[in-house]
Amino acid sequence: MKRPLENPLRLIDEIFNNERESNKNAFLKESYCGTMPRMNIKDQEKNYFIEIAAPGMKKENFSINIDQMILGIKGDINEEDKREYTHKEFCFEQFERKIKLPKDANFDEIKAEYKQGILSINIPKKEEQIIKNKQIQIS
Amino acid sequence: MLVRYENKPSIPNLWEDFFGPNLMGDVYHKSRVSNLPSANIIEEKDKYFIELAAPGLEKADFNIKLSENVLTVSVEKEENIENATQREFSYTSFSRGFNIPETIQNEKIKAEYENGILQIALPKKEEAIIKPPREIKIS
Repeated sequence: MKRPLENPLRLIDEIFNNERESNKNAFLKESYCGTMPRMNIKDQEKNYFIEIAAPGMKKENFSINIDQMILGIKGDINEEDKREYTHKEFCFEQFERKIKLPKDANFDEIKAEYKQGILSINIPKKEEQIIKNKQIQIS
Repeated sequence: MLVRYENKPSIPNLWEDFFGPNLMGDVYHKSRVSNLPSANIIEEKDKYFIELAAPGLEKADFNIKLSENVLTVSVEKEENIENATQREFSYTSFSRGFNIPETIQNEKIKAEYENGILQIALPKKEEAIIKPPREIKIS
């Protein structure tokens, strides 16, 4: 059974403000096929690092795109799952998450890899935006 | 049938769904990290499978124990959360148990870890396997 993953009004995660609208219904969602994968984000000195927990997929099942300032991550498994579940809590057959990127994200250098069930996306910051801790002398 | 035996109930999620995150303040909201991996249970003719979605780990991180018909999977690992701006999952420290029916051949339980999913195969005892109907000829 497939159903829409998200309320359209909640499509954009304002992640860098810590506000997580779209995850409020996570508990209810998880009883359906189409689990929203959970995401960790790190704001490091030279880059942003996103980790998405979507185990049991293949590299080819993901598509990542950038439209304006929005990073979209889609997952789609086209094979039909015929196994008989007596209990089901997760299913990453089809999902989509959208993240608004900060202004200093360098779109051209985004790199992604899928390893041990985690999709990690590395977004370097534009160099001129890195403000070094600088002492200002009072003359 | 494998009845789920959970160490940590997921009641707090429901609470947040109905009353919104602000009731308990931001402190509660920020602590919403999933640290109990989801599980699927699949039944086949001659065995059960438990699939545990625990991405980002190594085979050696898992500790699987069987005692008194309760199968317990646990992981105890350090996690680096430096610079995290958003945390939705953390599967580095958990323990989850499953009630195992008596019809399982305990000594033949096997586990493997691939693509972020720990799959435990539990073969049924010979007498528990439902045999196809057989026609008996009248001589």
